[in-house]
Amino acid sequence: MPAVHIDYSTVSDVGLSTEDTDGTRIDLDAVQVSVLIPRAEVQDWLDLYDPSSGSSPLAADSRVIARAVLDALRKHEGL
Amino acid sequence: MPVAPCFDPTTGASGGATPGGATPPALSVTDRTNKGAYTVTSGARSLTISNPDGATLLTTVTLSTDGSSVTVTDNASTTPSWTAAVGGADGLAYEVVVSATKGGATRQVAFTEAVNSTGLLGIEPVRVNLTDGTWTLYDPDNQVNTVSYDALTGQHTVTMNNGGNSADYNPGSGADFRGARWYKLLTVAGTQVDSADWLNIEFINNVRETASTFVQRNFFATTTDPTSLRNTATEGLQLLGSCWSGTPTNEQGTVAGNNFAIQNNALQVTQRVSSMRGNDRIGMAAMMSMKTNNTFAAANQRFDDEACVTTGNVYLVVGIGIKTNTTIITAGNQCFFGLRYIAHTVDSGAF
Repeated sequence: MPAVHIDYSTVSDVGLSTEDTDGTRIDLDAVQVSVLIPRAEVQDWLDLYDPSSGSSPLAADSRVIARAVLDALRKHEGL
Repeated sequence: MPVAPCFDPTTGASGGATPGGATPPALSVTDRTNKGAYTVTSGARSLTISNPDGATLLTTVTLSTDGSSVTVTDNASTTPSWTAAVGGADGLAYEVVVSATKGGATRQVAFTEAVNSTGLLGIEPVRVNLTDGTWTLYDPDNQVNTVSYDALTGQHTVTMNNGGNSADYNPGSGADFRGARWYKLLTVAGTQVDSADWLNIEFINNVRETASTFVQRNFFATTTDPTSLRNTATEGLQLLGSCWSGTPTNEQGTVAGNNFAIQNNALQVTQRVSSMRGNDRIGMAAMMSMKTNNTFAAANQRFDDEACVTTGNVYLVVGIGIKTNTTIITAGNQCFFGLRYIAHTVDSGAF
């Protein structure tokens, strides 16, 4: 299973007005968490995801990203 | 009868024999030779002179640029001293002449001392005064009532009319920005900056967010189209520089294109945003904000590699907006800020 990492040095509270992946404007106060996907594993991740399927990606695959993000968030919040 | 030249091969000192044939006295200056050129630092200067023949000494110092005389303390002694001024932007040079006269004959050691240009050391920022007549207010919907400037503190007070309550006045939202903005052409050393130039500009702001009486989102930035009402990533203002928002919060940050990033830190006071642009593209801005004792409080950055839709003249722009689309500005609401900047362009020639 491919991996992800977090650039924890850049995790911060920030007010952002920017664009989402689909071009939607975002304007909110947020915790910024930078997810690093190893270049060598980008295709592996893409292969795990079918945007046309409502059950993709699989829960086990999603959990890798979710846990990395949530661990960073917990640490940032002092938990 | 012409005066025969006399040259001391040891010290390099020059002088002339008198018509009667008197020999000029010996003379040397430690670490200095006749016709030498030296670089010194500004401040206290002194010489150590060797005068073995007990001649009458005189040291004179002249500022090369205007020929003015510099006061030399103990100018008849073997340890004269004076003060070399700070070099300033262009540097300075002093002509120093040490003369020894005895029996009607004189020998001199003359040399030049240059004080390096201060260059980029301790540059004094340009203080912004929106009321000094060089700035133009563009306020399509009459959001601003008055602006005043306190020359003592450098602070502006902007008093508003009824307004806000629309994404059109939030520079971080929507595709339009109809908020008030002051603008002026940006010149460096008297030369208009072009969007193709490599421009570095630092914005140094004291913006008193929590004193504002409406939830502001303001900016001090560069742009190539200051009166545009469009504000997307690829058209319109295409800002690059500093921003601040808040009340009751205390938020400072950066803007590139129409993307804003702010940090909320109650202790931040002075905001420094360093930005780089050129090659007809928007560029990047990075912020360091500081507390009252100039210690670090927060930082962030934004960058945008979009091409400038409008190329050519670069402008400074100071804009007044709202942080949320539903912020209502009531007549008499105010915001307060003091702004300074340092701009320079860089030779973009090949390495």
